[in-house]
Amino acid sequence: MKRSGRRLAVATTVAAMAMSLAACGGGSSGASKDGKVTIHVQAWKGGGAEPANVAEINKAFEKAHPNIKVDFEYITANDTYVQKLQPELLGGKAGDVIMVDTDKMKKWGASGYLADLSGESWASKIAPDAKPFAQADGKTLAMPMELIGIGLYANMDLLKKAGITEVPADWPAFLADLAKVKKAGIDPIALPDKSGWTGSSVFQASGSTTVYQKNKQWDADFLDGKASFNPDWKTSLEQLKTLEDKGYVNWKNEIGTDEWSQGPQDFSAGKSAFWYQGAWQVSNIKKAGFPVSFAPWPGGAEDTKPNGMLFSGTMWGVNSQSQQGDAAREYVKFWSQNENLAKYLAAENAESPFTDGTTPEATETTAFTTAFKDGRYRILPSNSWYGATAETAIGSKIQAYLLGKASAAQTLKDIQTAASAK
Amino acid sequence: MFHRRRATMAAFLLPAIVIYGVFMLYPLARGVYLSMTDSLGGPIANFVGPEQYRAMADDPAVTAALWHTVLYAAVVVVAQNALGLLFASLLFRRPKVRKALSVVLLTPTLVSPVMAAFIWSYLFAPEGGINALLGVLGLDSLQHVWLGDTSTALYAVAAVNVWMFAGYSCAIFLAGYMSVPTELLDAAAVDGASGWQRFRSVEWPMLAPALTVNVTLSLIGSLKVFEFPLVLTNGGPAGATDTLTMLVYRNVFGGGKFAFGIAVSVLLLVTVVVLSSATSSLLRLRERRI
Repeated sequence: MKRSGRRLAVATTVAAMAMSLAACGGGSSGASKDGKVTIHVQAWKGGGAEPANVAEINKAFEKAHPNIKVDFEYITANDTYVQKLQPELLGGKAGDVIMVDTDKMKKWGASGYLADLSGESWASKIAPDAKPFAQADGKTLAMPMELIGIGLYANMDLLKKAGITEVPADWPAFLADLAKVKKAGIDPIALPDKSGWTGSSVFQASGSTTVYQKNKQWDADFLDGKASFNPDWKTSLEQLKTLEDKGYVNWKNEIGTDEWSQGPQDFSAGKSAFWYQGAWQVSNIKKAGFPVSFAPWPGGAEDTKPNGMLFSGTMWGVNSQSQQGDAAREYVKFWSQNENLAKYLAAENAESPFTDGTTPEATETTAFTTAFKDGRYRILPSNSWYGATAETAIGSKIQAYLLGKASAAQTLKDIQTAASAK
Repeated sequence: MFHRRRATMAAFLLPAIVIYGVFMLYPLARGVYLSMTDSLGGPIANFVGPEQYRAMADDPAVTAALWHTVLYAAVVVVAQNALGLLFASLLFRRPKVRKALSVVLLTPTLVSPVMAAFIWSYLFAPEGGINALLGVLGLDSLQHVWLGDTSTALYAVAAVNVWMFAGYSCAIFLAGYMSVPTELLDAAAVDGASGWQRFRSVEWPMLAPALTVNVTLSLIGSLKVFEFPLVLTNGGPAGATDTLTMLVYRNVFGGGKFAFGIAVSVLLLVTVVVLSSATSSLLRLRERRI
C-alpha cells in the first residue's frame, strides 16, 4: 500500500512531463510454454542515427541462444531516455537489460534498481582504468561496453586547401592552422554550444593535456581538497576565449546553434575546417565523402603531444526486478566477449574497456588511438566530481564566461562550487 | 425529507469527491511529503524535514529561475493580451473577414508546442529565417543571435509563446465584444464619440470579464511554461531562460535529485496559486467596480 501510494504521488506530480512516455512500459519479457524466454532490452544506441551494429550482435546472440529471444527497444538518448526509464523502473516495468552510463548506474544503483554483477566471469577482466566507472559501493553494477574518445574533427580536404597536411598537435600549431584556414576563406572551427555541452567538453579536453600532464592524480587531489580549478584550469578556460579573440569563432553564434542536430549537419556539409564532438560520430561523418581525422584536442604547449579525452560511455545493467535474470545475465556476458563487443566498438570507433579486448583500427581515428596506445589519455571522471549535474552547471557557467558575463576567476570559482556539490 | 435530499446530494457528490481526493489531494500531499525526503526517485526515501527547502533557498539557480519565471509570465501576459485585444478589436470592426481571420489566428494554437518551438529554433538560429528576413528587408543592423544572447533569449522564447496563444486570447476578447450591447455602441456613436473614446469608455469596461479570463489563463499557462525553453534554449544561454519547470525537469530526470526537484515543483505550485489567485481576485474586484 505504501509503495503504491508513492507511485501514485510521483506519477501525478510529474505526470505532465512523463505521462506520454511512461505509458509505453515494457512488459514484453517472459517465458512461453515451449520454454523460450524473451528478454526486453532497452538502449539509446542501436537505432536512429546510431545503429552501432546492435542488431547484428542481437541476432548473433539469438543464434547462439535459441531459447532466448531479444525484444530490443531503442529510445532516444539523454533526457528522453531518463524520462522513459525512470518511471518504468519505479513501476517495475523497465527492461530486463538496460543501457546505462556511469551517472545513471550510480543513481539507479543507489535506488536498488540494478543487480549486482560482481560475480560474473567478465567482471574481473575489466581494465583497471575502466573499473571504477562500472562500480558503486564496491559492487560491479554494469558491464562497460566502451571507452570512447571525444576530440577534434578535421576536414582534411579543407585543411589541404589552406596548405595544411596534418592535424595540429599543440596549441600554437593549432592557432597557426586556424589562421591559415581563415586566410583561405574557410570557416575555421565550429563549436556549437546551445546546450553547454561543447564548451564544457572542450574545457575538459584541454585540461586533459594542460592539467593532467602535470598532475595525473588531479581528480583525487581535487576530491581531497588539495587542488582547485583556479589556477589549475585557467589555461583551459582561456583557450576557449582566445578562439573568439582571434576571430575564429563567434560565441554568441555558437551558443545559438544546437550541437546535436545542427553541428553534425554543418560539419558534414563541409562548412568548417574543424569541429568538436565524440568518436561516435565518425561513422556518420565518413558518409559525407571527405577525408576526416579525429584527434585529441591540441591544448598543450609547443611540441607537447596531446592527451586524448575518453568517456566511459555505454554499459549494460541488469534490472534487479527482472523475472528473466539468468537470461539477462547471459545476454550481458555475450556482449562482454571480445568477438561480439568488437562489432560495437568498430561502429563506435571506441576503445575496449577489457584487458583482453581489441580496440578497432580506423584511418580516421589514428591520431586518437595512437594517443590511447601511448598511454596519453585521461578518462572523464564521471564517477567522481563530473556527474550530469556538474556537467550542466559547468556548461552554463562557461557560456556566461564566453558571453562576457563573468570573469575567468569568477567562472573558475563557480566551476569549483559546481564540481564540489554533492 | 430534507435529510433525504441532503443524503441524495451527498451520494451524487461522493464519486467526485473521491476522485478529487485520490487523484488531486492525496498526490499533492504525497508530493509535499516526498519533497521532505532524500528520495532519488527509487523506493528508498528517508524523511529529512525541510532540508530540500533550505537547499533551495541557498541555491542561486532557484532564485534566478523564479525571477525568470515571473518575468516571462509578465511579458507573455502583457504582450499576448495586448495583441489578442488588438486583433479582437480589429476583427470586431470587420465582420466580413471575422470568421476567416479568427481561424487563421487560432491556427498556431493547434500546433504542438514542441513542434512549434522546434521550428522557431531554426527561425531564431544565427543564419535562420528571422535574420535572413531582416537582411532581405535591408535591416541588417537588427540581425541578432536571438537565442545565444542572455539579454534577448528569454524574450525570444516569450515571443514564441505569444505567437502561439495570441489567437486564443483574441477569441476570448472577441466573445467579450459580442456581448457588448449594440445599444451602448450606437448611443456612443450618436453622441459623436471617436473610435478611441468608444473603446476607452464603452468597450474596454465591458470587456472586463474577458480580460479576467484571459489574464488568469495566460498567467497560469506562462508560469508553467516548459516546452518552449526546453526545446528552444534548454535553459541557456548561461541559465538565462531557466524557469522553475526546467529546474524540476532537470533535477527529477537528469540530475537524479528527485526530492529537490519535487520541492521546486511545490515552490512552482505555490507561485502559481498565489499569483493567479491574487490577479484573479483583483480583476474580479475591478469587474464589480465597473
